[in-house]
Amino acid sequence: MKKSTFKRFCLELLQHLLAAGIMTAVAGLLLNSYIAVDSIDGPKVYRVFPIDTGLEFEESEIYHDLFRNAVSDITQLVALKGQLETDGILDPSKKIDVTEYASEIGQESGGALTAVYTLDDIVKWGKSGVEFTDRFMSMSEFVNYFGYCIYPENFKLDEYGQLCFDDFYHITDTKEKDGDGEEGEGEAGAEDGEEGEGAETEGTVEDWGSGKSAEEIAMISDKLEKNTQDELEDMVFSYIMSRNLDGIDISREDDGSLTVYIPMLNCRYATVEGEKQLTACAGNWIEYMQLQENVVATIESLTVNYQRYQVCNEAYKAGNSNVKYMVRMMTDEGMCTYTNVPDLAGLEDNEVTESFNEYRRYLIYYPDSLVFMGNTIFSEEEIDDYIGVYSYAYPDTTHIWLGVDSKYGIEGDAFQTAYAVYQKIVPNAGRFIALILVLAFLWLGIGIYLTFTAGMAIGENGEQIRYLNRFDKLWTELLIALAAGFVYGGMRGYTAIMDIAETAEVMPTRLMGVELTKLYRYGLFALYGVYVSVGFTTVWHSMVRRVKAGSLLQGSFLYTIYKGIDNAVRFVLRHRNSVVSTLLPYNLFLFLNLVGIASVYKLWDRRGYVFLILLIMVLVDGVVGVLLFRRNAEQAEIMDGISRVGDVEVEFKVDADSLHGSSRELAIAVNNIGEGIRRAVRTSMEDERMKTELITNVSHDLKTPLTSIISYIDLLKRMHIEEEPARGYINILDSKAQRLKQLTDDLVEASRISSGSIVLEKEKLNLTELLNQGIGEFSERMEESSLQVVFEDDDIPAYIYADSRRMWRVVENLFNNICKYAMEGTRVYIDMAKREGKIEVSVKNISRQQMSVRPEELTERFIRGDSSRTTEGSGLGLSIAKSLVQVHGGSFEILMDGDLFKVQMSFPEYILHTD
Amino acid sequence: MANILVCDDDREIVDAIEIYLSQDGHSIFKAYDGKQAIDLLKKEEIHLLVMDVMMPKLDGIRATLKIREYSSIPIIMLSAKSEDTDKILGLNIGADDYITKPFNPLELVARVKSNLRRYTSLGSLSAESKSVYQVGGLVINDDTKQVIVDGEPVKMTPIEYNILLLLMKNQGRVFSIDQIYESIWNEDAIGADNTVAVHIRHIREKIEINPREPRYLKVVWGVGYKIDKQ
Repeated sequence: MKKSTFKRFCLELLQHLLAAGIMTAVAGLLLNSYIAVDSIDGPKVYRVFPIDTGLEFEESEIYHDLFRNAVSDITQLVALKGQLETDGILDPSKKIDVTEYASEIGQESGGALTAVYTLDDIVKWGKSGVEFTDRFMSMSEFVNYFGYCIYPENFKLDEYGQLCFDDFYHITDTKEKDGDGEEGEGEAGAEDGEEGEGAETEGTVEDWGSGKSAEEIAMISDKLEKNTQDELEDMVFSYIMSRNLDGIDISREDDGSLTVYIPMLNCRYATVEGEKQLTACAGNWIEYMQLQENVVATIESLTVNYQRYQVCNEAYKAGNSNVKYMVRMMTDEGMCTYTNVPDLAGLEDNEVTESFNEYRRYLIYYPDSLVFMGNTIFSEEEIDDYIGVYSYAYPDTTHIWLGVDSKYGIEGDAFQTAYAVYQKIVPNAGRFIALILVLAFLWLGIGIYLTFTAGMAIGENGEQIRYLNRFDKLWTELLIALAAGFVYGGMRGYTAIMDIAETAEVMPTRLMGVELTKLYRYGLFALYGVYVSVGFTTVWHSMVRRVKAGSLLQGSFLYTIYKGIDNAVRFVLRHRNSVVSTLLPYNLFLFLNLVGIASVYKLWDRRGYVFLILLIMVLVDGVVGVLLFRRNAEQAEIMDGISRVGDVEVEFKVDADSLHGSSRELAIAVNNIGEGIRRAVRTSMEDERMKTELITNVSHDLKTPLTSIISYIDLLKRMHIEEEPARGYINILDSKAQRLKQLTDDLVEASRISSGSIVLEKEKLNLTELLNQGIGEFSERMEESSLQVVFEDDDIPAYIYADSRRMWRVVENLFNNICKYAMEGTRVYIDMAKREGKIEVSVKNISRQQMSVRPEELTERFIRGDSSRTTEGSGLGLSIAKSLVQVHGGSFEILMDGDLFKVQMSFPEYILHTD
Repeated sequence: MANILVCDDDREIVDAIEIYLSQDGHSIFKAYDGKQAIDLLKKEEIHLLVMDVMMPKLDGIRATLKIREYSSIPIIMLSAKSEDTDKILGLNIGADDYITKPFNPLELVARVKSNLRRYTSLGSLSAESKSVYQVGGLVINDDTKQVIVDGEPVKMTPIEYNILLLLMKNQGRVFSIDQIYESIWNEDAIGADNTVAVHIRHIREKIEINPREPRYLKVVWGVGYKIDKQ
């Protein structure tokens, strides 16, 4: 049993170690299965899932993702090249029309005006930052900043006939130059250069382009005159504001006038025409603000694009990337080819296609002729989406070739890096998975074995025993709660280690303040494995043991409660009589007392009643108290009687007449039981006596015919019959008759001793003397068998208090036994020792025959060492000896060790005052 | 030689006893219950009575009591009852000897002989010499260094004789092995062991009819040996 427990413990330990191993392997799989790749947008991390491990690199998600990135990058790169390059080289002096550019990138803010800057300037401008200066001016200043505009042509009547500003058709530059000269000059120049239309012929009413008739203008002029200058300027301002121009803000000053704030671009670089200020290009605020927005948008976009271009171009330059592309398109300037495979640049389309077909993965797309070839997961829609972002850069005539050189001859690019790592991970992943499977299989195997053997032990006789340990005896609910706790912990642990696996590539990760080294990560995985294994096996094995022992339900708290209630109900039902005789009266008693107290309280004022009630209560309670006391006292009396009868006083009787009620019944019952015991004792004593008497009588009756048998056999012997068989028969008859004689004597003796009907005549006697006398008596017989008696302590007196003739019987029987069964020519040892008030005698001899009986059988009646009952003797010798020694308060024990036969006796030593 | 009445309700036992005793030359009278025995005693001249205890009509004990009212002939009781109390009872009410069944026929013959000898020669051997000691049928004459049992001389070795003499001189007193050794060998009893016991057994075998149930030299187990006064 102990060994089995140890074995189980070892197996469980092994199982947990396996779990730790599994999780370490999982950790090895998860923590190493990521690929970090440098992409255009910075480092990117891919996870290789075990599912992918069967695939070639070119089939994996990572490859597809990298390819997708390459397509995205290259479509962008080509678009950027179109923007920034001239004939395949970055052209810093390339002219950029801001309004056109803004409209290409979809950020134009309307307006027909434009400004052209060199690419160089714009990029530098963007790098140093776009800055604005807040200008603020009064309403009048603001409205007339680009020139006076309060002309009837510029106004109109709305559908309600109200006068409102229509548009800037007619502007005259009449405003006073209050700013610095430079600004004034710029404005003047702008009017001259660009708005030739506005400054062409002043004063010519019909020709302002507003499309209004003279009557209308006249009518509007009338209205104009009715309004003050301020009102008209307000109208103009409202018009400007209604165009939702960004940045213009107004505030009301303390004197009630309005101040306008305008963020105006700090023009760092001049346009290609050499114009530095944008105001010079615009004729009014609306135009200006739109132009300014276009410029800002262009600067911001181009700056980003420029940087992007730098990175992209470098990354996908021939010799830097395994990605090969070629984009060919017809533009206004003619055939335009972008590629990083310079060799192909001059070839025809179909030749290019042919050469791209040789790549492991390629994509060929002619949007105009609906040609889409390729062996990637890319679909036509997808590539359309990518191109769509830069649709301005890709005319329908575009032809795109894109391929990846699967030789990965160029080192350092994303594909090559990923490929290298992937080739390293994939075979390892396979091994890790195999390892995990093997470990998991082992874990499961041990688990199944332990499940089958759980709660079973091999008993002493090799049978199966079911057992429960202390833990299994806890309530099942606790086990379930524990299991729930384990599951919750397991889920938390799962998210934690998954987190660790996710952040595997981020090298210094911290968890709860501890820096996670690689060792820590593996350790946490292993710990989690052990945790799950321990948690699971603990709960599972306990569950299994409970099921096997059938205590799953019985061991639950609910079952205990159910059982308790059930027992209580059964108890009450079984003791209906007690309910009637005790519970109901007791409750009635309580109720009466309560009624009494309540009545006293209620009738406090009427002293007469109160007194009466209290008197009755005292009387009733007193009577109840006396009755209870009497009952308890009587019960104690009965208890005392029971214990006396139970001890020794079989004759004791409880005096039932002095008791009352149920106590009397109980006492009578106890007396009856006592009577039963007395009768049983008497009967058993009588039986024993009768048995002895029977044996004695039978043996007497046997002796009379035996006398005749012995006498006549002797007479036969005296006839000197010489015929051989007859003589032999007579000898047999003789010996058997003698044996029968011995047997009848011993039988009587044994039965008398065991029934206790012998009377001992005890006296002080010397055991040494007795043994010496015995040796003397048997000396002849011993010599016949060549037995030598060794009795060393034959001169040390050892006194005991015993019946001398009975003790002789003991010694006689022992020596008889030795003479009959000891091997001839051996020694018989007699040892005597005094120890702690006892005299111990041991007699040892070597048996002639192999002893085939147990020692205790020898002292049982009619058992003899050879169990064949053929030799002389009754088989009662040792039994009688043992009984006699025990009657004297001694002990008699037979020990056998091989052929050594040893009788060990001990007697209380005689002490003088034992008289 | 003598007229012996054998009384037992078992006829075969009576017949067997008759065979043995008549071989010794005795005349045998047979009775099968106490009444017949008493009647025969009155009719015939009987010298010794061998009687069973348990018999129909009149049992051995009551018959003995009646006989002892007028006769002192030797009575040997035969009985299947082997308890001490039975023997004591039998001897006390007047039996001279008590033999338990089943008995050795030769022992019975010897006891009969012994009792007859004592009965017939009672008083004739009353030697008043100081050096003659007598217990029942056992006489030891220290002058002639002779031991006579029931009238017949017995041969003894000197040591056996000395031991017997010591016990006969101090009748009733119990001598332990050491005491006997010291007084006979005149040296300390260290290593006396069982020499004395062996001698005692030899003596018993010579002077006792049944050495296992000695009449004279009795073993007090665990104490010593003695010869009782009679």
